[in-house]
Amino acid sequence: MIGVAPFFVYVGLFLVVPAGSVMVEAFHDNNGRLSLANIRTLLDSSQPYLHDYATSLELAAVSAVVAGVIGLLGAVALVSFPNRTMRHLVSTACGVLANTGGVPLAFAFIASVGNSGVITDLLARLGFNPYDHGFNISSFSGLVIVYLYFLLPLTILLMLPPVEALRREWREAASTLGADTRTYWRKVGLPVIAPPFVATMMVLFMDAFAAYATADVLTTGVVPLVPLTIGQFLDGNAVANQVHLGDALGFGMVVVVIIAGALYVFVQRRTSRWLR
Amino acid sequence: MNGTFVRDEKEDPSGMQKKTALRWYAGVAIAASALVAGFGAVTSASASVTSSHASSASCWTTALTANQCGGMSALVAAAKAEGNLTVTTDPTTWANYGNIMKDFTAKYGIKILDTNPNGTSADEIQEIVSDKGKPAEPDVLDIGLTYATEAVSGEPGVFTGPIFSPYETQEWNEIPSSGKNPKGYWAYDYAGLVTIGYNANVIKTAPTTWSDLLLPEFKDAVGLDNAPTASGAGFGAVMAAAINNGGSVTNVQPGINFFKKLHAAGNFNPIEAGGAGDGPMADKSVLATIDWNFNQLSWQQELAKSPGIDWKIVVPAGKPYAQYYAMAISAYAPHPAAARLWLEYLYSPTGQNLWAEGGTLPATWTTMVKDGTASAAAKKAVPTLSQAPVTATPSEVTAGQDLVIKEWASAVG
Repeated sequence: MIGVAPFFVYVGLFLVVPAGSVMVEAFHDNNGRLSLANIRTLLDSSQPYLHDYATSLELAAVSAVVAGVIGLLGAVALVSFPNRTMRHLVSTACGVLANTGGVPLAFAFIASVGNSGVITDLLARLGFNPYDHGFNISSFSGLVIVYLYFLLPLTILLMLPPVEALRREWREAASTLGADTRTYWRKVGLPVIAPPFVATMMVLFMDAFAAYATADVLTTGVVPLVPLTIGQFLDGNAVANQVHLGDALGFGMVVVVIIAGALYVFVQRRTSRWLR
Repeated sequence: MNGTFVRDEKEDPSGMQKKTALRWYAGVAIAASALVAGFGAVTSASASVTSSHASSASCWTTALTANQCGGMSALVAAAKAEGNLTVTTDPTTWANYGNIMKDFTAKYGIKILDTNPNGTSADEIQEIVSDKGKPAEPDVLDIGLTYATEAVSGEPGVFTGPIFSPYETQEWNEIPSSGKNPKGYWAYDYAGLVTIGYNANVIKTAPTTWSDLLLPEFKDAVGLDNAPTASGAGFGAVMAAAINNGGSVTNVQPGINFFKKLHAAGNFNPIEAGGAGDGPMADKSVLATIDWNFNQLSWQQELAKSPGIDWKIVVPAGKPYAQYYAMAISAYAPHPAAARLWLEYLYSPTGQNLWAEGGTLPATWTTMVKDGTASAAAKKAVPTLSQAPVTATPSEVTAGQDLVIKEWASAVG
């Protein structure tokens, strides 16, 4: 018990207390009185905040689905790769890349596929400048591509264990009974993989939903996201006296994350029943 | 899997969450610092018992003018005895602060520590409140107008104002009454003048008018310091666009509309231009910026080292726009005499000239040009204007920012 005490103190101080204070402050007005005014402002369609949530949710969902599908294919390919060294190499690399983010990542992308990036220049010289064909790193689709940089490796990391857990015997049993590859995946493989896959998508969704600094550097408000709006209320050079509205926006994010987290726990239970 | 869940909720565990984490944990920081402040108060109370025989030292904590505690020579002596000055959010590349600090330290032997060079105005307020009684408490603040007025009025439920200590420098009367708090809590220190900088090696048309920025030559070129919803310089650009496109300091919508047009033309580059020094300009991802003249000048000096970049600065035709920042002393300043000497220095012709050399418009500039105290170097750095710049009062700035918060995303989103 004493051994885990530091962990609980840490989680208490750095997660429970701040999240709790956000939830309490969201329901107070600027005079410190209990109030629903901030939440009402949040839900007022004449204000920009609902649009912020819609954009944030859309970005997180699109990023999660794209990363999830490509990452799952990657994990399956990696498991069927005969060389184990390769598998170790890739999963170690994924461990590092999944933790890349923030301002350095934004600048890496600006330097490579920004409007005067190295790759952009190269493509332009070959006669295809992506910026003349609607591509822009400082846009919704640009952010999806940047987010894939850390979401894809995370997917592979999270999907490797369940894909590895698909037993060879199941496949052999299926083909003995006359199933071809497609039938095997449809009737056996995918149903077993589905719960951990959905759980992984929830993690990807939450990761993308809460990401901040990369989008901050790349977009200056062109893609209105909730974390950026909270940032301007709590840590800006332009708005004073709106801390409680920032808390209310944070409260909304906590609600979204709780829903996604609950879904994660639910499917995770099913997973452990299947893949013991 | 619970560990993974916790980590992901906290979001991507890298540099990315540094700023966000700060916010999430701000509550804890306040709680923790309240505890620490409690201890700090006890220790500093006992310290002041031993040092209180220096009665002149305590005089400076509330001095409204230097004369109240024995004049300038007494102030210099008391400040030297303190030996240190704590500032915050004064980057050395901003408004010539690097040279200003060097000169101050050389002159008085007082060491300057910047506790948070890359902070924001909101951070400054936070630091005054939560570092109270701790060594990290800033002595002096250089802060956005919205925040200066907030620091005096207080923020209900968060802190009670004023958290500034009033002080009037010897040059107090040279600052117009619209540019200072009547009780001495803050005063304009210098203004940023909005100019357009551009890479003349790539862009051949000098953007001498606002409509030039809409030309095809500026495709994906024009960047802002940061979003006007989060940055004073970004907001200044919107104000300048407003007053030159049919609006005024009280009618900011035309400025937002200008950026809407700029974005629709494909000329607005949303990369945060001021985020990493001259980086985005040096790697040519931002080819033009609308920003404070002093930032343009600082980039120009930096970019001179980058081969193939010729950063030119123009004051676009029309009405020039300048927005002031405010200078104030923390009510809990650990070095009250050094803080007051710093202000005396900054408002003296020496300090004002150094600010001007960095490309700002110092608060007493008009008087200095008239009475001949403006230095040649300063006159060279301050752009010649066809007319007096338009400025906005703190309440006009706050109202404009509120509108930008509401409208920016739908204009450029």
